[in-house]
Amino acid sequence: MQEDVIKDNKKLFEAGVIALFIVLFLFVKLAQPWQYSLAHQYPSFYNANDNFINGYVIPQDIKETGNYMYEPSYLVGGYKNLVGFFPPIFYQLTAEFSAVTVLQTYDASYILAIFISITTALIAYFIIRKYSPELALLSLPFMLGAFNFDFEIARAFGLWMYLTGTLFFVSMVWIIDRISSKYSFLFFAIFFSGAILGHPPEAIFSIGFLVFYLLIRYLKEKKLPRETLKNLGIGMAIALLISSYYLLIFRYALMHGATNQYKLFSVMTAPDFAPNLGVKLWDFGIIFPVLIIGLLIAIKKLVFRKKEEIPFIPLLAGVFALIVGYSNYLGMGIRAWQTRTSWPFMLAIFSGIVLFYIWQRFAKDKNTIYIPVISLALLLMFATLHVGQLQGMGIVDKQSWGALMWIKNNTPQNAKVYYYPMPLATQQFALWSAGRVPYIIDTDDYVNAAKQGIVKDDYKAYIFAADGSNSNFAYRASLTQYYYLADNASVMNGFLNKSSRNADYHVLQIGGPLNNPYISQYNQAIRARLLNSSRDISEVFNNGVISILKKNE
Amino acid sequence: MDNNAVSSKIKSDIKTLGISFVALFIILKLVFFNESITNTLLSTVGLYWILILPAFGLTYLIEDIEFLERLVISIPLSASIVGISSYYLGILGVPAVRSAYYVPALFVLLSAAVAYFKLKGFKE
Repeated sequence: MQEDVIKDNKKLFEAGVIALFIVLFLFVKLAQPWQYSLAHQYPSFYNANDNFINGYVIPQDIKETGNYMYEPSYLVGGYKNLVGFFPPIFYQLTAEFSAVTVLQTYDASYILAIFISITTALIAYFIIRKYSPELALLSLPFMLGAFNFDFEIARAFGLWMYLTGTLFFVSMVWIIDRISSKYSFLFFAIFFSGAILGHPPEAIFSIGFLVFYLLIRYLKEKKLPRETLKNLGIGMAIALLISSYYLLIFRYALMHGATNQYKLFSVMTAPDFAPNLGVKLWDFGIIFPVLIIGLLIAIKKLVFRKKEEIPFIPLLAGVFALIVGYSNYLGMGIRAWQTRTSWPFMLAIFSGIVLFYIWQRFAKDKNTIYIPVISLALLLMFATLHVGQLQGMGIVDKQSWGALMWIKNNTPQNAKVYYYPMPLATQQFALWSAGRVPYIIDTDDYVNAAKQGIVKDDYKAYIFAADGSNSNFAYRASLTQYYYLADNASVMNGFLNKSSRNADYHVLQIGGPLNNPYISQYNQAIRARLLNSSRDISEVFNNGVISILKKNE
Repeated sequence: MDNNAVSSKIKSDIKTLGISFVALFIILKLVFFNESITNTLLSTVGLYWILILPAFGLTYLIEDIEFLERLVISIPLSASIVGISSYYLGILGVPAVRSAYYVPALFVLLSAAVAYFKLKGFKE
């Protein structure tokens, strides 16, 4: 009876620590930059291109068209029926979550991304907990850890498909640890197909971890249980069957030409999505020395101890995450750099194991009652390092977003909308939010004219169109027959050498706190010239920050 | 398990699921204190409807886990089955906004049936 009471209290303490982790994670990673609201009038804390395409453009298009069969035409220069080639799960879930909650798509996606991140951390926690609840509780605070913005870019810069892939990667690690149990093949199949349709690089890393696990296990035990191999085989077959439709798209569209992106032993010394924000091990700050000691302990145990005597899977997963993170030196490029952003979750066990050994050595009678208290204290301490860090509204303001939505709701589908230099256009994916093909004024032509004090009648421009990481504008003729519009020089040349004289709409930023005052002034001069020209142009929108001029028919 | 034990286990877990829903709602309301109660409640409902309930019953196929772990692992399970099903249904012509209601409902029923028969000791 007394044992039951102690056991129930331990469960309650554990639930309390997990609840506090969720509260603090939400508070510092999302609530802070979001002014402690869930719903916003415009995309809040959207900081980079990927925020827009992953958080609004494609999920919103799925809501409006009903499916992701085709890429939105305004993404691909106006061409229709090009196959939808990005991994669809995050977009699909966002569209449905937005529909059910009535939240705007740009809010729904961010909430999902953070929730996915929290779940990834908690699954990593339970992977450790299977071996030792105390070790798991001591590792959990390090999943929040010391603040460094390098670790935040996956969330803050919209790498949300990567976050989805990582969720399924840790889920794969979780089920691999139970792969000999009866229905494990079903879970393996669901998680593996989730990884393939969530973010394929993590599906590849999952297989890499599986091979790594089987190899180390074979070296230690000199055999592999038949049940394990049977469950893996069945699970893999089911997953490949479920994923086959998308795998063909991945093979013929997304990976077309992508083999040039990955060259064995080529080196990417910084992530091209954020060159100054690549994660390094010493970004862990005060945790770094603890982590290194824990890593050395882990390697020693993995090499010299039997599998049953150590937290085998979590240590192996941590070492594997480290290896994948450094595979930017082996040709894995941005995928390696993306993996590093999840190091706080995957390497937390190395820090936890150091505390665990200190507790084992010095705690009187090894009383576990202090463990939740230590965990709570560490969580609160780390959280204070995050307070005040993630702030600011991002790169879009209410007026700019209002202008994009006006364009979306008030212009013909095939309208030629020309965007003059403005802060929002520095992240060009944002312009797709208007649901129209964006024509971007050539910056060099604009700046040269501005420097000379000349306001011209027309400026050079180009169409901004997505290539989707070398899908090359894939058009699907049948399941395995694809044509690539990018192979046609006239198609690609058609995106260039545009002139603002042919614009249906001119979009100019004429004010606002985010804009350079010189750009605002020059844009105002352009606006005045256009309105006074003989081209029958009138102003159809002006909110004091953005002016939209329309060429009357 | 006999019928009484199954019934008792199901009732207990549903009650705990309800408590977890209330706990998540309270957490969201505390953290996002500037948000309305309606939006916070809808967000909680959305998270459970899309990401937890569809596959919660499936987790009973794994025997050595407790409630909290069951709740957490149902999230990637639900994300995968709801996301993939909705994607394919969209290609077949079922709009995503309709899938948002039907697909989770279908899987809630399926996974509840799996849980019931597993707890009852159903053998194929």
